[in-house]
Amino acid sequence: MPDSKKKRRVGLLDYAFKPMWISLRTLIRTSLAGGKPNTVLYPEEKLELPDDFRGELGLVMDRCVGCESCARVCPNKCLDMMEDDLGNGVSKWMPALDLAQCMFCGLCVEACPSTALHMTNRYETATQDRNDKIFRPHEWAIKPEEAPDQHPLPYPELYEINCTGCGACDRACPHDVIDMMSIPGTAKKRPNGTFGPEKKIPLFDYELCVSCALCVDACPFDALEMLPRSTTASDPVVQIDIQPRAGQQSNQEVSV
Amino acid sequence: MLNYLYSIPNTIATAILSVLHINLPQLNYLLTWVIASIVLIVVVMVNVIILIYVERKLLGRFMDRRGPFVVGPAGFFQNFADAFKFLVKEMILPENADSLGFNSTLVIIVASSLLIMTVVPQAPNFFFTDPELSLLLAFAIFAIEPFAVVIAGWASNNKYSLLGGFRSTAQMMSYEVPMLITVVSVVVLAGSFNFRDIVNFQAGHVWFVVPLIIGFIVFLISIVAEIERIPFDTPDAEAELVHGWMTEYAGIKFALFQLTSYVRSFAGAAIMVLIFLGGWTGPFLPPVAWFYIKVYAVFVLFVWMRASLPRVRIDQILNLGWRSLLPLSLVNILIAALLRISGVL
Repeated sequence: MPDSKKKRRVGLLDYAFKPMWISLRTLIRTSLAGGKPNTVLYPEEKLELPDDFRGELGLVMDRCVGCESCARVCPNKCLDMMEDDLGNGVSKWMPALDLAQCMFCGLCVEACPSTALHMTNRYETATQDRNDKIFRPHEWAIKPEEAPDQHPLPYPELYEINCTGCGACDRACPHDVIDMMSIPGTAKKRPNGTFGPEKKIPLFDYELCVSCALCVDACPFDALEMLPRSTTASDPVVQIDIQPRAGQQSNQEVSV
Repeated sequence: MLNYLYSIPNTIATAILSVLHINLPQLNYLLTWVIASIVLIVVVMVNVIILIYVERKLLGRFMDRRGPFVVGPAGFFQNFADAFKFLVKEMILPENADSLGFNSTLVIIVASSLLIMTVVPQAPNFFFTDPELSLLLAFAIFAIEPFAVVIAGWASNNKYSLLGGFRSTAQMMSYEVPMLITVVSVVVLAGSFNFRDIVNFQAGHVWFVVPLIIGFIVFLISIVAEIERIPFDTPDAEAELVHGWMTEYAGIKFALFQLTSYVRSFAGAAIMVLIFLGGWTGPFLPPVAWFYIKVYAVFVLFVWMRASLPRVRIDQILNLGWRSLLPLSLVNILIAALLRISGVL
């Protein structure tokens, strides 16, 4: 026989009358006292969506720099780069979208360096035909005012201590931002009296940079990192902090 | 004695036969009852449709949502849309199912549920038949359904269906005895097994809910178990068994079973109104109006219980039936006997 002392006994009051009173109160609140039920008549009424609602993706074509970051980061491979017309006769390298494969993770929006991608608050995306959800770039374009800037653009910053001067970033950069520059006085003296090659570091022309982070991916020694940086305040002067060596001047200022 | 449910079909049948120049009293009798049956079924079905709408709308409000609201004015025709959906669905006979048992239970359950309404009078001048023992007959017909449910559960060749059938039987064990004892207390006071006599007695004295309040509560719980509504819907518990004994029935068969459950709700509410709440007696309004007002009030009470109470386990039903309801019904019959002997009623 079960131990009845340990069981909490639920009386008639708790079992029957309390829930009946609660549901009666709900009935009065929802229908009699001029109140309304908690639900929304969906097709006619819609809820107010928050600003950061992750809906259908939109592309601001003017801001897109064609860096392919979105296409690379997309886990579902629903973005594909293609040449498309901006509408004014100018063609550009921009992502096309297969929305039927999109899982609305928002990684592409985070990865986009120029805030060209934006998740709108459109969520009624059903269509009759599957092909209707494959968009060329200009077909899923939105106006710039629909996609406010959500984060300052990140730019590559150099950790000089890790840099070996291999030049991989220079070769990876699509826009001639990086210029490998020799640092004078860093050449090693060989036993026969000649000097070896001087150490090189990348110098960035931030005016040209599109923040695509290809250089960061290319760097084999993690010497580069994307850091948020205001576009207007970018100064082309890079402070180079080199460990002082005997007989050599330190803290050189190199101007681009 | 004027009975509209007989006299109007009789007039129609006589008119039809006179137009056809047939003078057969037997044919007239047959045609009259066929038309009367159709009228009764239409009356019951219209009420059932309204009941389903009332239930869906009220249940929505009880649960802080809106019921149906798209089809028709305020969603009134949602039932028709659902019925049409069920009509166009495929009729599936499960593999290894017993075809005779599977299909005949549908007929038994639907027919027996509709048959209850033939002995339930709706007004002094609106009833189908009026036998001497109509109260007993109503409960006898009421009790057919659990047997058919066991057959349906077995014939479906599905373990959940079979469990639902067993549960239906076990549930009937618990509620049938206290309910019939409570009914006997009413009969003791009224001195008749006839619904019309019981109602007339209440009209002359007092509604039986006042002296037999204990019996009223016992009967309310038992009748909810009898019509298998939510606190006691263990035979088709959606959360435990898939849909109980109705699992394998698809399409229009399922729709008919659902419809039947509302016919039984209507009949249960009507019987409760007749034997406890004074039937069609009431001031100002015509008797039929009072009858339907009371029936719908009782049905709203059923909906209220459905919206509030959690499902009772099968062992809890047996505990409740044998430990609580049976002693209470015996106390109730004692009160009825004392009132009868002392001559108060």
